[in-house]
Amino acid sequence: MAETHQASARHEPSQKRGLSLLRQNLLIQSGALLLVLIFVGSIVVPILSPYAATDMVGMSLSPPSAETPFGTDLLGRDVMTRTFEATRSSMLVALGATFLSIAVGTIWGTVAGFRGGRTDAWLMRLLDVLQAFPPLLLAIALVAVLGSSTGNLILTMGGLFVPQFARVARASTMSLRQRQFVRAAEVLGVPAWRNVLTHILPNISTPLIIETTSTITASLLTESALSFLGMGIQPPTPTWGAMIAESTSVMTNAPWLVLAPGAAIMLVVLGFLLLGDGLRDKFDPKAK
Amino acid sequence: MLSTFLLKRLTLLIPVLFGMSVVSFSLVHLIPGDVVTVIAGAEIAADSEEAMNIRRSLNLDLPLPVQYLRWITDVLQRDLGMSLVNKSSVGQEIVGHIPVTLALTGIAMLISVIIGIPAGVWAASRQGRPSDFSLRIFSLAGMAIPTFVASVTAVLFFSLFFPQVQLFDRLDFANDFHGAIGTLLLPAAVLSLSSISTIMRYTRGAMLEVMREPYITTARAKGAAPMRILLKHGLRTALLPVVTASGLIAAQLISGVVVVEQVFGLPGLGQLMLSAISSRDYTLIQGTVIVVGAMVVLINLAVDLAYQFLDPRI
Repeated sequence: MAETHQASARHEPSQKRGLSLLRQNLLIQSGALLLVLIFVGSIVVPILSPYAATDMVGMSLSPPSAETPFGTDLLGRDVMTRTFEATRSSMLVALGATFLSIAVGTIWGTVAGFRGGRTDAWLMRLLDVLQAFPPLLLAIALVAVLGSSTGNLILTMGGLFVPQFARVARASTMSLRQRQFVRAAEVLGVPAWRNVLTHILPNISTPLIIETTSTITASLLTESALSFLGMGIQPPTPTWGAMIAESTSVMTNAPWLVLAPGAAIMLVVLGFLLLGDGLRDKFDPKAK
Repeated sequence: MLSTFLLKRLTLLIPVLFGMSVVSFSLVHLIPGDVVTVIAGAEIAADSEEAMNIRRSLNLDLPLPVQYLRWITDVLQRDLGMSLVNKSSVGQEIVGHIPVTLALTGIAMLISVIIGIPAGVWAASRQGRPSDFSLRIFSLAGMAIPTFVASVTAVLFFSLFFPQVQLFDRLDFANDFHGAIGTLLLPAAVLSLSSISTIMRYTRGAMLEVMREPYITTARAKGAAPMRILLKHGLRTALLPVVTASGLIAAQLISGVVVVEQVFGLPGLGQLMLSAISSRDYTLIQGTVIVVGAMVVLINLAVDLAYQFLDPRI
């Protein structure tokens, strides 16, 4: 057990060091700030806003004004309320998909890495197949066939991103597998599942956390592209992609219809990218 | 040497291609409920003539493994079946739509390499300075903007400020090749935004790693010109991981192509697939998925072979 603690100390900085690094790291700082602002906005704005996202509050396509800071859309709905509200639905799908792929991918990868041999070869071949398809294309085909409910979106995209996590988990597991404390536990007769749970998982969390930020980014981009193509969460629930898609025909008269949700997606994705880059710098100084 | 590698690499391809064919085959069978009513509409009776025809054309009356065997035999003989909607050959439809997609992806790849590699080298040579930092911010912005937002914004920008530019021209590769390429330039530029960033980041990372190697210090000590060290000694080695990444980048570009074609109204594979989806033409969806998947697999094979030639160590 003592070995575990040593190993985890080497892999993960303590809480205190983590905090001071957070303060030092401009990338993590700005990413986190950006995300906190947007998430607070996505909760506060729809509550404070006098309109609901589906209310018709004024003339169609009225430009930004004091009452409607981002203007109104084709049906006269408030673009600001809709943009912030869309954050929730997009984040729900993106986070749901990411958590699903972390769960499945981590189990997949640790089993493959821990068992090795034929199990490993089979599990990894299956992922090769999944990764051979361009992700958006497979997502489109699957959603087209299964139907575009929130659950199906999460399931499809979650499945799509399993390979990344599985590969990261497998690589780290394989190197830990040879370490003394893991082998010692094995010799003592600790069952494999407990060995993985207590000795492997705590020590592979760092690369998995870094992978998480880039998967959230990828799911956000995929989700918004799907809803742009009309295959995401269906109206009247607002999504950024659908908001942009329904306004392309009138955008020369009402550019705010495209710019508001477009900027929202960019900022959220940027927030996660900054966070991921910062974490990578911090834990992998060689890549800096 | 090379032939054993090639042989090994090709054997590895077989399970992947087999798996891909199973995935594409299963697509039609994943449709919830009775496929026939999904394809032809709910009002059709399950035992009517039309329902039987659909079942027969998809071989749905046979056991699943037999269906798969029939289908894969046809596919291997370059017969992807008939489109359910306009009764044309799926293969022909795909062949007709491939040039636009290939041209778009190719031009976008070229743009990303031409801008991304020099930018990456430059950023690495100025590591930690303001110019490195600003390039990093630019690349993050390039990755943060979704392709469809970039496409729509580009169309918006041109129609607001340069209305004289003809954005949606007809493509005629056979008679007006230069005109067609010209029309594809803006869509390709938009498509390349995120891959420029990806290539730049890979190049920068690889350069930083290589420039720490002892042989670079040796070259410096011998008094070689800094530019020569950077390009001849550094970039030559640093390009290897970038080449490896280009398979990934190709898949990324082909994903983006679907959206770009849709916004710019270009008749490529992406548009073919989307129209197949809106008309519920499942054999056509199946066909595009397997063809595009096979394209990505072939690109990755080409990348591996290129790596083979570039890296003398393997």
